[in-house]
Amino acid sequence: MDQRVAVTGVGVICALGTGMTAFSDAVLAGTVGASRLPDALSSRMQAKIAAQVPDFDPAEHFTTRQLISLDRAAQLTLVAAKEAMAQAGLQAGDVEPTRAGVVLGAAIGHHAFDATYESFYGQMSDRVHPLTLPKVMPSAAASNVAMAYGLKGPVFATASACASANHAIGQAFHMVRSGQADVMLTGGGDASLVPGVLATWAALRVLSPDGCRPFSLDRNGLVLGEGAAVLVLEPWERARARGATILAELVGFGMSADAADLTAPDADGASRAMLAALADAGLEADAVGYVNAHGTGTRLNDRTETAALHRVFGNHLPKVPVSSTKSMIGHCVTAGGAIEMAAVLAGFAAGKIPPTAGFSGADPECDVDVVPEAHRAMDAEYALSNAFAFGGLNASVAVRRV
Amino acid sequence: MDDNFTDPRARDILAIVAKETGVDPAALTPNAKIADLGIASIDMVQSIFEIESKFNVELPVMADQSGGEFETVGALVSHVLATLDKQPAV
Repeated sequence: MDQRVAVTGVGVICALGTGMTAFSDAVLAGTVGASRLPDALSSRMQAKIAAQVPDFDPAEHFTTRQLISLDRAAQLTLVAAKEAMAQAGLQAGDVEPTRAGVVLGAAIGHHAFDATYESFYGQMSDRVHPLTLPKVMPSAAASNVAMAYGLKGPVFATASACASANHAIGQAFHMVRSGQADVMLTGGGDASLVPGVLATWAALRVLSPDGCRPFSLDRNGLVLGEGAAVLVLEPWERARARGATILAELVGFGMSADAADLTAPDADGASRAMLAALADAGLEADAVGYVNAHGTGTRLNDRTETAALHRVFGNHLPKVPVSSTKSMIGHCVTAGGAIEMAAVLAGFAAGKIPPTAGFSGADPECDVDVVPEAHRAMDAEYALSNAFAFGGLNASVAVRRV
Repeated sequence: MDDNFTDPRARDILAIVAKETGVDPAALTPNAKIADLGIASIDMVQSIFEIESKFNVELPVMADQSGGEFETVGALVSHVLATLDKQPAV
């Protein structure tokens, strides 16, 4: 029999701060996390801003020995996992280790890759640090979280570009729901703000030089971000029995592929992911009271996502607040869906809908209620959180406020 | 093999191993087995990397034993010293 799935812990670190308290205050206040990149990173770039984690000193969280084998993405993920586990009130021994696991969005060790290539090709150094490989592997963060808490069940990473974290959450959700696992940590971390990666995004001509303004008429691109968020999932009855505080209930997950274009989004694929999440949850579209949009701030994404929302919600769409928290958090790529789920949970807890910051005027092709600038009272019981990746990989998560 | 430990360079090698592995320097005796000391392969690889950096030398992989390259602390020290002695003087 299917289990209901409770979220009993959440941890986050991103441009808006470290920890749910700071994050929640900032994301509900419409705080924009983008800041100017250091000159060393941006001197050859036209776009010189990103949503960087401020004042992150790895030495405050890890020993020198630990840091030898932890790339920044894994560091951020471990910080978020620690908060999530503490909030869930789970201790080692509370769960049978083989019944607990980790599914995270792929966390490529971009910092190690970039520094190694710079040294190897740029400086013509013959030497490569021996722990480069275990740092760069996209599953490194998942392995490190499993090691930190002795979780010995299903542990792996999902790779679907900007939808990776949503696919991860979906897999972990279904594992708990089907009884394959008693506790799953899920979400993702991403730290891509290195010259080599920034250049690849710039080459695609999708970076905004002056800010992410999702759904605005004059929007001109996305702002990259970095960060991590981790959720603790467990069966509802198990959470109740041990007296855990239940933050929300995951109720549905839907995914689809466009199978069309490597970078251009597709309203059909996006709408099918949302509809699949609703079907998985057994919900009608008009039950949804809030959508956390993929909302990258590119010309193409936002108008395509709007078209997809029309297909899903029809006449109900004007009554559905749709905000893009990427306007504040930035586009955290493989971690995006995880941090955005943290934003939804922050909204649930406070009874406020996170706004779309930086809104500068309506685009007729984006005729949705974007909750501009300031939060609004939340009366939603159900929310959807969207992620639509390059390569046409779409994933939508349905979550219930408790 | 014991003689190697009186070589002044051995002190530097052992200091690096102690630092990188967290093993008590006193336990790093010539016949001490790497496995018995609880040194993980990843820490041994890290130690070798730091030894290479310190002496500006590339330590060849022991072809037939890559992975668990050295059985004892003494074997590691001998390999480093032999490699250094083969280097042309700079």
